[in-house]
Amino acid sequence: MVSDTSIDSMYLENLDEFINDEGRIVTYKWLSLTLGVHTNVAKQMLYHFVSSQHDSDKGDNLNVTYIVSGVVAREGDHPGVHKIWLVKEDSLAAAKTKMKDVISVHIYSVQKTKLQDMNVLYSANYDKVKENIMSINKYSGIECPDAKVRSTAALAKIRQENAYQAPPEPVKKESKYKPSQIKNDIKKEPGSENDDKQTNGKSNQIASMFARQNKKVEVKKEGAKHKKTPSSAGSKTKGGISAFFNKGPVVKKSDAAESVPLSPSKTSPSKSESSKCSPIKSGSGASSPVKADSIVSSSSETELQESVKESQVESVDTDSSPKRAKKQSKIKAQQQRGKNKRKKGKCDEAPKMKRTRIMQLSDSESSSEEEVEEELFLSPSPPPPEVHGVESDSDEIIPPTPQPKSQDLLNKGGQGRRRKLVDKTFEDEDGYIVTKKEYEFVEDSGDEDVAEMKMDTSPKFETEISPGSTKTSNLHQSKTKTSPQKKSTKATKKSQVADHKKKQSNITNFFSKK
Amino acid sequence: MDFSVSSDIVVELLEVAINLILYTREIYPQSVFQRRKKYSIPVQMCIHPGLRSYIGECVSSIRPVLEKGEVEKVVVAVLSTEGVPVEKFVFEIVQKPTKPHEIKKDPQLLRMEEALRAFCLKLSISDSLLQPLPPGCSFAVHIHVPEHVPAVMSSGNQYQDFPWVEAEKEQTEVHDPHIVPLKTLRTELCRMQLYVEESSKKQSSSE
Repeated sequence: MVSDTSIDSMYLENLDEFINDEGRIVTYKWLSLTLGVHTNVAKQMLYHFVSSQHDSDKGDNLNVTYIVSGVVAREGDHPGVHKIWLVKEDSLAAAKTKMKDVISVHIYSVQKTKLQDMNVLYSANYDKVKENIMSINKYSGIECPDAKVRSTAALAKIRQENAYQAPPEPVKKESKYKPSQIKNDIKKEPGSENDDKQTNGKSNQIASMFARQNKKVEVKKEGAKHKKTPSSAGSKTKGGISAFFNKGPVVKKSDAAESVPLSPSKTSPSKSESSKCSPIKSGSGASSPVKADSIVSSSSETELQESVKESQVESVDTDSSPKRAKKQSKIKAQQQRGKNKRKKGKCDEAPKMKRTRIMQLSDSESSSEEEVEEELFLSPSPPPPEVHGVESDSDEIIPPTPQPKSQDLLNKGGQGRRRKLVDKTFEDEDGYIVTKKEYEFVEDSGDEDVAEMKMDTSPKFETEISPGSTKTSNLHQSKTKTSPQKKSTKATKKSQVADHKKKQSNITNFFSKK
Repeated sequence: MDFSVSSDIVVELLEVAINLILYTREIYPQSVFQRRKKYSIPVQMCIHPGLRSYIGECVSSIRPVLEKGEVEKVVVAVLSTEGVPVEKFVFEIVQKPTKPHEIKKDPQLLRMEEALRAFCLKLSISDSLLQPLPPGCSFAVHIHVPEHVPAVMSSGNQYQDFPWVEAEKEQTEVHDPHIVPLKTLRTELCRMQLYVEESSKKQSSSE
């Protein structure tokens, strides 16, 4: 083909323009795609051009890159290896001598510039190759008839299949927030009388976070809602007795109140009392604001709750729903972390059953996370608010269904036994602090005793940690939030221990009552 | 006037371009460069910590000025051993105050990236258009700004860590120059022209 003189001269003019006038790097691949000729023809053209330039004494300023293919003589253990090299003109002879059998030597590129960097050859081809990426071998001698372009439908199917693997990621994202959450927990524990309650609230918040991230989780949450409702209902219906059960909800309230306005609720005991009296209101207000940082809905919720104070049930329902969602999310998290999906499902199915269900958090982190979530609300850190926004949405959506259930649960609780979610923290064989959530059935008659137990436990907490110290610790934590996880973990451990003491005492009381 | 988008792009390109110039003009030995990927093509990036931080400081201190759209030219001057410029790589920059949502024609900046690739490619083969440099060259980065800018820059805190000083005349003027155009870039975000002012007495200046 090249031998045809007319074509020859045309190509030579083209090449002369590309190389000498435009200063391009002309590779055979680029030339083939640009002129639409077979790659072998392109190579021949390049060769022809180079030889003609040399003949006319213009070739001195040309730099040629060769593609040398051959079998390299044995090197140590490696017998003959087929290698393909890109070599510059001046090292062509050396490259040939290294090869035992030279299979082919072609011109790869011609350019005026002295290539400092062979990578530039890739750059020279890049755009041309991308333009023809779908038919890159149309001028090539290499073909693969079995390679077929997938249809868009097939691609969509593949994407869906791949998408299934996505869900685990959200959990990881949540874990990022753990440190800050942990810090927050520490703060809360010292200040608030109701550590247990706080933990519950935390768990709820955590759950809400999960809910935000995972829409799928919502289904699970519904089941969790059932579980939660009993405890909240019990608290609502009965003042003193419920207090024990209420710890979860009440604590949430107090925690939330503390968290949002931070100092006021903690400082003034009257507030905390008020929160107990109208646990839902304060709790919802506190919890919602935290969530709501970025969300408008929270404020509306709080207002609603305030107006509904007298009708605590409704308010409780709203509270319970977020709480439930949180618990559910906790459960989900636990499931994802641990292996308790089945257990949860069972719990959901038979919330009223008298059996004690044990929710295991796989490790201390999970427990800390739960605790921390409440703290997150307190903490002004940017990432949580976004999550909260999602939560709030989920909360809003969830409430309608749970309310009736919760009422039923309340009624049942009043009649006989209630199911309560209790966090037990202990050190396991490996030295990890493990928080277990257990569902315990408590008789209403025992509630008063429980409340007494609470009274006993709460003072202990106060004595252990002075509010001032807690505040300072809070400050510390907030400062350290960004970097130091160690401190936060330590703090969480302490808090957990404290919780453990309280919880244990409560539990023992519970048993003693029975 | 929001020049942030175009200034981001220009700052990136400047860093790449300065590295490429230092590499292709062999102002620093090739062993201090490493291959990196930018604009989907391999480029050379200096790995010497001092040089890298110097380049980084230069371009990052240009950024605030770029964000006001006040940079007229950025010049990479190649100085001979006598401190006389023998080559000047001049980036003439005209930014357009485009906001991200106003980029209609090229929303993913694919064409922009293609243009920047071409820019890099042209830079890397620029040595075929230029006379070889005398040994022992160094480089300096100049920026050309409107007259009121230096006063602002000398007072602003953000410029104190890496202050710009007024260039000396003998460092800015190329003796008996001729211009070698390299590349022109026209996009929605900015227009840029790269050319080299090359001294006709390169070798003699070093002798």
